[in-house]
Amino acid sequence: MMSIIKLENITKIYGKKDNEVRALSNVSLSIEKGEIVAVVGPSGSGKSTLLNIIGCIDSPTEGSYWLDNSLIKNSKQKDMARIRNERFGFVVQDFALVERYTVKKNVLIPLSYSSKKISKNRADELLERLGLSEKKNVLASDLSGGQRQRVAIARALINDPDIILADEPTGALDKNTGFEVMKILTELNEEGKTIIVVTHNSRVAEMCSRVITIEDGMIRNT
Amino acid sequence: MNQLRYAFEDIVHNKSRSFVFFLQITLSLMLFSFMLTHSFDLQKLIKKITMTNEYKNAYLMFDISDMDKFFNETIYEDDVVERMDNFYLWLTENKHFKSYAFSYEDLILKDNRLDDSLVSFTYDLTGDKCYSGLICNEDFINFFDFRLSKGRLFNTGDYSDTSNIIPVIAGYDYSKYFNLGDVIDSEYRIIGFFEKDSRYYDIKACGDLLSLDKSIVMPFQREKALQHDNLGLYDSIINKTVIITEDERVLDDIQKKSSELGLYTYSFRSVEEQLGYIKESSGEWVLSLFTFCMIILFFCIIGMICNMLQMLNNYIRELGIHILCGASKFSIVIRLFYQVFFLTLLPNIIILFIHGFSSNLLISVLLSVLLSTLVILVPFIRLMKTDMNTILRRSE
Ligand SMILES: Nc1ncnc2c1ncn2[C@@H]1O[C@H](COP(=O)(O)OP(=O)(O)OP(=O)(O)O)[C@@H](O)[C@H]1O
Ligand SMILES: [Mg+2]
Repeated sequence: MMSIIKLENITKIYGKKDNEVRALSNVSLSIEKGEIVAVVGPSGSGKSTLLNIIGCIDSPTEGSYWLDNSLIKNSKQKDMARIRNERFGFVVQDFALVERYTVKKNVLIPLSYSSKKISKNRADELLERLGLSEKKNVLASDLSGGQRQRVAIARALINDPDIILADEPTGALDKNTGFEVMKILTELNEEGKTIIVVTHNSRVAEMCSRVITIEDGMIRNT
Repeated sequence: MNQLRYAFEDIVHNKSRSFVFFLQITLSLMLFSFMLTHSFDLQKLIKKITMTNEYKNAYLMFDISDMDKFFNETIYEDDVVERMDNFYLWLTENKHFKSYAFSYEDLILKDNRLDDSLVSFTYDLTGDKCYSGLICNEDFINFFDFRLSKGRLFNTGDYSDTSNIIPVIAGYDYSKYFNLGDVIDSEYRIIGFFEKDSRYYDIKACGDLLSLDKSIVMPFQREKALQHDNLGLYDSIINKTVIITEDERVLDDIQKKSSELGLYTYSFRSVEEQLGYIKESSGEWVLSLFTFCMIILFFCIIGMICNMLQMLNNYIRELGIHILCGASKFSIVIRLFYQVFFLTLLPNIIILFIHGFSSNLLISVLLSVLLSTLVILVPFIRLMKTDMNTILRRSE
C-alpha cells in the first residue's frame, strides 16, 4: 500500500545553540492512506511538534518528509501554506475559533485562502451534518465546548482535505462530549479520511487502529 | 481581496484603536505638509545662519566725519572723484583683505511692459513710478553666490562698459514680463534673471535677508562713473563696502588710506556686533517650530508603531488561527498593511473632497505611502521573525 505520510529520521531542534531543545530526534514512521492513528506520550515528549511538522506548520531541522511521495522541503512559506490549506484539516484542543465570528464565518475561513472551487453551501451542509444548523449565525463565543469542537471539525472539513490532524481534540471536553467528537472522527475515517489524533486519553487511543508512542522525542517501539 | 475584507473588518472591530491611529496619521501628515510648506523659511534661516558664519570676520564702515565740512568743502575739491576712485580701488582690490560693495538706486522707468506689482514706490508729486535698482561689484555677486534662472552673470566687459545701455540682471518677478535681451525703458538690457527668492544681506540697513525678486541689478561701471564725475555713487558704494578680514589691523590701514586721501573718518563695527541684537528677534522661531514639529512627528510615528505592535499582540491568536487554516505569514502582513494603508489614505480622501485635486494632495499621498511603509516595517519584521509554531503556541 502507498504511504500517504512518510517521515525519515526527522529531527526537530528549537532554540539556539546554548539552550536548544531537541523536540524530536530521528523519528521515522509511515502512515497509510485511510488509517486512523493515535499519538500518545507524556507531556513535552514532542507530539505536537510531530503533528506540526506533518501539517506543514513547522519544518524539521533534519530528515525528510514525503507527503504522497513528494518531498516536502523546508520550502517556501507560500507552498507550505497552500498544502496546509488544501491537504490538511486541523482540530486542536482549544478549538482555535475566532470568537467574534459567527459559526458559519469560522467554518469559511479556509476558503479565503484556497484555490479550490468550493461552494459556500458546503458550510451549511457540514454544519447540518454536525447538528449545528441552528447555530450557524451564532457567535462562536456563545457555544458550548462540544459545539465549538464540532464547528472546528466542520472547518477542518470545508476544503475537503484528505488528512485530519487532531491535537488533543477531546482535551477540553467532558467524557461524553469527547466521546461524541471521537465518534465523528472515526466516522470520517470510515469515509476515507486519514486521521492522526494526539491524545492523553487511553480510551481515545483505543478507538484508533494504531497507536504510536513518543517519549523524549523518540518513537518507542511497540 | 479576502485580505482587504479582513482588513476592513479589523478596522471596524477595533474602532477606538483605528481612530487613534487615524488621528496619529492625520497629525503626522499635517505636520509633514506644514514643514514642507515652511521648509522655505527653514532654508532661508539656514542660509542666514551660514551667512552669519561667513560674516564672522566682517566689518562695516560708518562714516563719522564732520558732515558740514564734507558737504561744504570736500565735494567741491577738483579731484575728489579721482580720490574716491582711488580709495574704492584700494578697498576693493586690496590683497590683504576681502570685500564687497553695492549701492541702491531708485529707477524711474517708463515701459508699458512693467507691471505694477514690480513698483517699489510712487512719487506723490509727479506720480512717477520707482523701481528698485541695485548697483554692485563682482565681489558682491560672488559673495552671495547667486544662481540664475535664465541668462548669464556679468562678465568683466559688463563692468567696464561705458555705453549708454546698461546690462542688467533682473529679479525673478521680472521674468514674467520680460525676456532675455529685452531692453527696459531703452536703457537696461536684460542679460539674465535671478532664481526665485535670491537673497542678500544689507546688514547696515536690517538684519533680514533681502529678496532680489523685484530688483534690477546693475554692474558698478567704475570707468563710466569716473567719466561722469558721479560723486554720489562713489560716496554711497564706498560707504556700503563690507570688509572681510581676520586681521583687525587692516581697519587702521583703511582709516590711514582714507585720511591720506582726505576723505572720510571711520568708525568700524563688526557685523556680529551689528547683527547681535537683530539675530535674537528674527527667524529663530522657525527653527524652534521645526524642532517642535519633528518631536511631535517622532512621537506620532513611534505611537503608530506601538499601536500596530499592540494590535499584533492582541491579534496574534486570531492570526494564528488563520495561519492554521492556510494563511501564509505574507498574507497576514498584507492584511496589516491594508489596514494601515486605508487609515493613512483616509485623510487624503478627505483632503480630496475638501480641496479637490492638487499637487499638495499628490505630495500628501506620497508621504502617506512612505509613512505607512515605515509604520508597518517594525510589525512586519516582528512577525517574520517569530516562527509559526510560537504564534500557534501563544494562541493555545
Ligand atoms: N517554539 C518552541 N521553542 C522552544 N521550545 C519548544 C518550542 N515548541 C516546543 N518546544 C519544546 O519542545 C518539546 C516538545 O514540545 P511539544 O509541544 O511537541 O510537546 P507535546 O508532546 O505536544 O506536549 P503536551 O502533551 O504538553 O502538548 C517541549 O520540551 C517544548 O518545550
Ligand atoms: Mg502538545
